[in-house]
Amino acid sequence: MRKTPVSNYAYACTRARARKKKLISPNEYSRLASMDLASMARYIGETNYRSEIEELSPKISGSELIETATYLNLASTYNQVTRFCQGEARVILQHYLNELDLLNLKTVIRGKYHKASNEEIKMDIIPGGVYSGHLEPKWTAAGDVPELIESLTDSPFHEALSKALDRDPELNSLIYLEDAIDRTHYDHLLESMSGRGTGTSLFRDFIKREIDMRNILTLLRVRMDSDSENEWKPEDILIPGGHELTLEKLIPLYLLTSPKQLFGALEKFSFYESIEPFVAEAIETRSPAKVIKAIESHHRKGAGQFAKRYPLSILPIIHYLMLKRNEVTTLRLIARGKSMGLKPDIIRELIVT
Amino acid sequence: MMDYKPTRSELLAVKKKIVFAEKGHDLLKKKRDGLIMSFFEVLEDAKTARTDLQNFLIIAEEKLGIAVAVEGTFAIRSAAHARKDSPQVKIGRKNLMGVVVPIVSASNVIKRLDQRGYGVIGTSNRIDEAAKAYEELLEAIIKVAEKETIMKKLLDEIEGTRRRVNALEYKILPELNTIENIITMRLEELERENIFRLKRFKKLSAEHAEA
Repeated sequence: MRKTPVSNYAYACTRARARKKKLISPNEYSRLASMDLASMARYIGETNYRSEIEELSPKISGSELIETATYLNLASTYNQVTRFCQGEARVILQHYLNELDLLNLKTVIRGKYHKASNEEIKMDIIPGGVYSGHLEPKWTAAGDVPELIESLTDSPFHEALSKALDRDPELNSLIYLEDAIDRTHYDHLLESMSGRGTGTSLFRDFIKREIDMRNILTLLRVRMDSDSENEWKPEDILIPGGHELTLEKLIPLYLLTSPKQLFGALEKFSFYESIEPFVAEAIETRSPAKVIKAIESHHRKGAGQFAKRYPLSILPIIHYLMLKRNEVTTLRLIARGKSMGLKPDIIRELIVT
Repeated sequence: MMDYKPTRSELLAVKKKIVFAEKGHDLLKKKRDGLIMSFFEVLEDAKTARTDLQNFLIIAEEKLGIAVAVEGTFAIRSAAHARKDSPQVKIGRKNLMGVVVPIVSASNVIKRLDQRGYGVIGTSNRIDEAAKAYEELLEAIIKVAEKETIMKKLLDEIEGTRRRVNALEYKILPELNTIENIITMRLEELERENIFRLKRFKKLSAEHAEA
């Protein structure tokens, strides 16, 4: 029997910390927001994104260059970090870092559902991940959504997608399919982290907190969208296995009928302090944007605190990857915001630090 | 100018036409004034609808800009593919001062989160807000389309009515009045000729009698 190598947390965490120092400082974002796109591309071309910018700049330019280069760099970072981790740490990351695959799988399903051509779907696929790699021949050969699901027999999502398809065989919408992918992602993460290692248990705790965050975001979106009843059952859209917000606690929250009631019920949870300044505005405008931004920021800061508390665990690596992902999101936000004509003040307001 | 015979029956016919044309002229003027009043009422609604449309457009562009910036173009294009059904637009008709105008109603435009087609766990509120803003924009476009079509139809009708009023006022009625005057004058002239002829005949008869 092949033995899994021992985790190299000391080495991997040191490398992650070294990489963290190379990230663009959040203080620089404001300066980037006032640059034009060409200057911005030049600026990030002098940082960690040099090879992607150099490779892509003869073909594309402007915000498209920055978005594609940052995505490629993120995919490459995920691969590099996974490679320098060993044992338990590598297994954890392999499970956690398939976000591009999740997004791309949904894109392929949506494209097939909309009867878009393979070329059109390829344009919407985020570079990096298996759907722009070895799974491409499989999904391009599928004619429609059922055929696509049938072709993904070796995918971890095959079973969940087949069940979701049985529930809505007429495919009136993609909601069940898409939510099945996300729920399965978290189910698999929790299942695969059932071992007793320190790294595993810390990571499980982190994932549970992330599930809490996802569920709160879902609750807020559903309740802010409309007071009227929707067709969902709570278990359709809420992810079980949260840390503070178990499904038993979430269902009564889901059944509350107004945003005011929902925020009132959220007061007793630990994250409420971080969202409190934005609650009144959210109720008045029925826009949860600032509250969601505060929750995301709270989650990332929480991960940072845990990373400091457990310096030789998976958490510093995860925290670095979260910061990296946020850097990529922020660079794209600034570039796309500029190309869409958003004012610098709005762009600065959208940046999550 | 139309052909006419300088006869009393023709004079009576012309007078009848004048009375009829004057009545028509009054009615058409009232219709034109009514149409103009209706037009101004619709104009106010159309102005409000157009202002709303411009505001919704600004909001929708900003929300889309924010969604593209926060989520990236890949995610937005992908989410757009999740919706298959289209809004349904129905066009009815109603009568406004004799003008048939459209009533445009739309269904399936503004949707709830669970009707937009994409999953809720893996998407974001930025996509919801952009989708909602464009749904509201589409509703505003439909409203503007209805109001502006009514305005166009009313304007066409006002223009047609104005032409008819002007034709009656500046062409048909003056012509009929002229004809009436000419016939009257011709008849009076014939009358005078007859009197002269009778007097002449009487004088000749008297001269013959003396001879």
